[in-house]
Amino acid sequence: MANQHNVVVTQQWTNDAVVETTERPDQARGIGAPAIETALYHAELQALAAHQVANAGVMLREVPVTGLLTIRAKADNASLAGALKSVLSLSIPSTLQSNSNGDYCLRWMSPDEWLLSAPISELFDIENKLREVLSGHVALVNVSGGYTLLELSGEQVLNVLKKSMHYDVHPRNLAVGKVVNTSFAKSQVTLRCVAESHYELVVRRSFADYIWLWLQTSSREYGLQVVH
Amino acid sequence: MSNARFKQRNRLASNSQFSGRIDRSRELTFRFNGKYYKGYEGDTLASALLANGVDIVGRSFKYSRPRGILAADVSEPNAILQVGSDEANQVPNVRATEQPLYDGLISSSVNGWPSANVDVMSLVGKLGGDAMGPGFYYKTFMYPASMWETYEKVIRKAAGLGRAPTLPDPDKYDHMHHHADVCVVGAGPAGLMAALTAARAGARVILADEQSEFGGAMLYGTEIIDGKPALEWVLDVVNELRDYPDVLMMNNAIVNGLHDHNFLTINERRCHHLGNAIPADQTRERMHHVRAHSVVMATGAQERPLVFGNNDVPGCMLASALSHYIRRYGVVPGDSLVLMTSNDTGYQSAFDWHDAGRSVVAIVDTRQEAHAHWLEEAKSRGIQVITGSAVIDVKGSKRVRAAVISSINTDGTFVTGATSELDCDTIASSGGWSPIVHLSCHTGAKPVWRDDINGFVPGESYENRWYAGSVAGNHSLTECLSDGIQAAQQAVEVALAGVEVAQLAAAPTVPAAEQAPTGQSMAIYLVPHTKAPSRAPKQFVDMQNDVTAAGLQMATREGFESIEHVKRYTAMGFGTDQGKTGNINGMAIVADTLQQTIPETGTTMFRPNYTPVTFGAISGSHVGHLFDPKRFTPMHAWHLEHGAEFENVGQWKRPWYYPRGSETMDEALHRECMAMRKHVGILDASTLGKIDIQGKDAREFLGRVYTNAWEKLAPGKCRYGLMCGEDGMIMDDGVTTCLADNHFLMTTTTGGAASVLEWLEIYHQTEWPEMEVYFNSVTDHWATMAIAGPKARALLTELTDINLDNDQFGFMEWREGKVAGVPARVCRISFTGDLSFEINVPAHFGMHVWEALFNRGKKHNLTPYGTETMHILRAEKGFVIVGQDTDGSVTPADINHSWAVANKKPFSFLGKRGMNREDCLRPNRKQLVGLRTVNPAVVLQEGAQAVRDPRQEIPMTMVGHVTSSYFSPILGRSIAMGVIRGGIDRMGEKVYFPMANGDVIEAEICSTVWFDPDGHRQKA
Amino acid sequence: MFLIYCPHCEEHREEPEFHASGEAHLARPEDPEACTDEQWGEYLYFRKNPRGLHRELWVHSAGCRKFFNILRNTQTYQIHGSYKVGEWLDVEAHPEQEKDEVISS
Repeated sequence: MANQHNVVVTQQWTNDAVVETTERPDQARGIGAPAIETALYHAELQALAAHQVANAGVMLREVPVTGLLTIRAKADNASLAGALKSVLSLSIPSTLQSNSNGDYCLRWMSPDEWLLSAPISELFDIENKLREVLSGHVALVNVSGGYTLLELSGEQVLNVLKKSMHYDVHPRNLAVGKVVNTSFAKSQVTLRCVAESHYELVVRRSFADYIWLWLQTSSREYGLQVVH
Repeated sequence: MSNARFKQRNRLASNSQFSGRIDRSRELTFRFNGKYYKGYEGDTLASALLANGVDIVGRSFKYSRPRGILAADVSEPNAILQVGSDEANQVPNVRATEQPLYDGLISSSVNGWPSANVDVMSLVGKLGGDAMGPGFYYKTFMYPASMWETYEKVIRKAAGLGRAPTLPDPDKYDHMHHHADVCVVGAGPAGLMAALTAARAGARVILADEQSEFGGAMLYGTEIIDGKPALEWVLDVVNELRDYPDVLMMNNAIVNGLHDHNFLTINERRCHHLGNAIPADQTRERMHHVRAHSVVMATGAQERPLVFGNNDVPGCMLASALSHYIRRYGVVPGDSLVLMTSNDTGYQSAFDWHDAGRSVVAIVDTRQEAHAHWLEEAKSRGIQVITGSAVIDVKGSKRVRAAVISSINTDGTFVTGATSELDCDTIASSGGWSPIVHLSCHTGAKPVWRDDINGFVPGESYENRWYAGSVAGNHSLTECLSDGIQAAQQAVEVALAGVEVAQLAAAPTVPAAEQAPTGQSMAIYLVPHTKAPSRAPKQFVDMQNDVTAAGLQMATREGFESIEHVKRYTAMGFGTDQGKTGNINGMAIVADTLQQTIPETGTTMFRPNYTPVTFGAISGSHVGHLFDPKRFTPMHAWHLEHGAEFENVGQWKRPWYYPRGSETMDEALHRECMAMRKHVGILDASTLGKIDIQGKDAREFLGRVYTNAWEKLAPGKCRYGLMCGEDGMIMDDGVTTCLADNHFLMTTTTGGAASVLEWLEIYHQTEWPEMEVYFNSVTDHWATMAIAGPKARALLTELTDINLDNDQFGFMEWREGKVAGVPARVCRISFTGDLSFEINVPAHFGMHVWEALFNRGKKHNLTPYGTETMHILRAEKGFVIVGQDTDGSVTPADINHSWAVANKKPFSFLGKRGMNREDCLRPNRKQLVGLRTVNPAVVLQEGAQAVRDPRQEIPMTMVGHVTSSYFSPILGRSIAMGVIRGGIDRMGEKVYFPMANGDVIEAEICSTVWFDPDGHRQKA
Repeated sequence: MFLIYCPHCEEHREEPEFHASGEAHLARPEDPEACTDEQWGEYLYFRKNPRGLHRELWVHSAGCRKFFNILRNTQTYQIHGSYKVGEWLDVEAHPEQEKDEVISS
């Protein structure tokens, strides 16, 4: 349905119950309630998580399927601040910053782009509500399927990041809350410092397997514990 | 094996004054050229070989002369060995002075046949030596030209160093990226002082040194700091530095390159001391990439040998190398020494030799007068000092037997007296010290000559770099220490400007330093002989490439006067040691020959890497399956389970075809094509680029970047779009869907997705920023599956709430609804020419929907097909693939797509001006046509060149080529497309394809559409 | 490997995050149809290629995806500064780009 902006709001969440799968039992394939999976479902991370690694220096967790909305607007759009406040109770993050509020996190991506993460079942409503209160030249795009979120933590997490990225990840430069789009091995990620020694990577779905393989190699000498 | 066989005859006893910094409790066994020897933990391969009295380590490159070890560090030119215990672990050209000894090490000379000791080539060297002057490759083997390839084989066999392994390297390597406020290169006194200063100031510091221990030259010196032996001071500094959390110290780490904006590449050898016993989770080498705000270079200075007759006979060494072997490894590499020096530092090496209990026959000082302090020290040891003289020649071939001495004039340009011989087995020389400026030159700054130190120092650059100690020409210990502090203070001030950082400790002050005095050195490089260089015995300048003083002079006589030309003509400085012990001498000799000053002559360019770096270190983890990202669609696991063969499309893995049982590829393609045309097939099309476009100017923007018209495309409809570059050539294509008046979804080719997005952005940001439109990639967000074939509607109906009737949902339209319970967008777009529905769902639902289709699809014989079948099917319909049928030189008119060019649009869209250039409008351009082979079973080869007259003499006139070619199962014959000059007006004419094997294939020019020419099936 | 200041992200980043796009300040002719073939060819292909100061267009492809200009010396590779599309930078270095501000949390 087009709306006052003459754009189509994408992808209402299905009203049927949705099953999050990390495995694909043969019998249930393609039958019944829609199943969703993260980008790394094929890596069987749940099974790996059951295996305890002694003295692991790095912890890795793939976050369950998350709603992601790209918000485009000029930073001086008069309706933007109010819209974010009223719908999400968040203010506009400044350059390279993120603002979080419970399950919502808004990340600065560029002078006219922000990335919102929220529970996937809420994303359709959030997008609709934002469209109601935003005016002027804006764009909203549901990109939930396009990414996966990985969390990295542990004593040696900085060393793994240093093997993977040219970016200066020292806390003096990458403080809590800062978010950067930068290169990662031969790919690219959105990196956010969530807390001390705790980082979030937003990774494009089609590159997720490569990033997963890379993280395994880079963390081998420190010990990698998958967490579910 | 009796211990007597393994007596290390040159190893000093453990209770000697110089027991060495080795661990005698860990005895190691190693092999060299088939023989076993012993050494200790802490040895290098070189020190262990010398300990065992091994004289000859190889044969020289050109003349095959026996060579021994000259130096004790990275400057070593001769001891280049093949190391490795098995095929996979072979490493060629390892410098024995850099290789830590480990138990079980196996090494051999890299040249010398049948062995280094007996080398047949040396006879050639001796007999043909005169014919092997510089440039002999060019001169001797020029004629006849036809024989060059034969000569080359002979030369290659005779020359060359080492051999590459033939099995994959089992070791791992990786990279690490760092940022530092101050990076200090070199951990001698200046570097340690600098690191300490910067660390105490609270800066982020990286300190890298090439040796296995910190201390630099102090590891084999006599320095006293703060009243203690220097190495105790070093330990104190290192212990303090270890406590700072933001200080990274690295040993065995060579800074190989200093690149733009203070980016350093540092090669750390982490496990070379472990041989084959590297733990599975460790990397053998690590390349560190450091971005430093400030760099302090404390790289020290390199001792030069003097150049004299037969100065390459085993037993000729650098003076400081003697001290290095004696003090650091407890090894004296001979029994009786003659030491020649042009400066005061050489004396200490003779004293170390004497104090180690061996005989010093004489110290030969090239200066007319020696320094009083050193004369006194020599006298107290009973060592004879001969001033105003030089060693001009050597007796002995496989080992020094005697030194030929003569007096020389003040300038060192000619011999003044009679010659005499002194029996000895070792001749060491010191010609002075050259600051190791290399890193400072990597980004182009030319070094500056200083007469007062007879050396080059780093030149000026705009970068934040400081130079401390010997590299700056400040050789005294006190200067090194104070330089270190000053340089670091300035470096920190610049790096931390505007940054709040807590100071961690008080700034250090210059410690009290005691060092033996050094007076003025003599500027001498080539020692004179009784004969001119061209007649004298060979006086080697570059050991590794066998470049002599005579050779350099000959090069200048032949007109090579620029030092860069001399380098390339003579190969001076070309070796794996990059001329560390030879280049300055060589440059001085050339200057003298040309009667120029040294600054006028200059040095050759110093380029990364300072020392050779393995490919492993350069590649890091980017090898094997990590060499390049492999991108996968959401349904990849299904494709794997169902036996798909994959094709690389850019970085993506796309199913190529799905063989069943023992099917050949052709059989699989036949089955897939027929299944689609007769029933229904399904293709994973997720890889195509998808760009979401929103904004009130979206429509106008599309009109500017595409050739076709968009003004009237209503919401709910799709249109094929053609994109051209400003040169008028086709760049990309795809179907763009109007979702709403201000909302479009553009698709691109798989390979063009990223570049098209950047194309849209560059025009928006730099040309039309006033347009209100936003572009966002949604390629990964959507899983796309295309079902096509007569049964497509029947299948999809079972799974969707969308009304699929043809009068409700027409060709080139889209609808929103549910498929398999999942919100979806379905588009009637067809690349096969058959009834087709493209189902798009968010990627996290991809597998569910795909599998739901297969559940229902069994009864319809739903068949998965890959890219090869897709190519065949679209070719049957004459649909082009950008990048296959176009190559960047093809306009819309060339492929008969003028129907897609809306010339009436008011805006001069991208490509319009270019495609109307005179050259784009000329007749006889290559145009896309179909090619029907006269023999239907023959499939043309893609790329085959077309001619009109098959009997024309070579060179034949080529009039086009085949762009796409397949066997069509539904037609039972071959089909092809190609570009032929003026093809569109030549329907029915014949063209011929002469192939490399002699076949000539005849084909007729025809329409590109082979199947369902009216296009009914896709509109069903 | 260059160190490049992105004027949109307001910090220095490593070169692999960027992608060079040739000479800067090339305006698309207002009326392409009025250009001769030769003029169009010059617009497409002829560039200054100076030895010395060069104004060039770069895009922060792995970062904010925005285009911007750099003033760089093609001999020494010294980068004098970055500036946004539509703006200008004089030869003197841009002081605020010499050091990134430390962003506190």
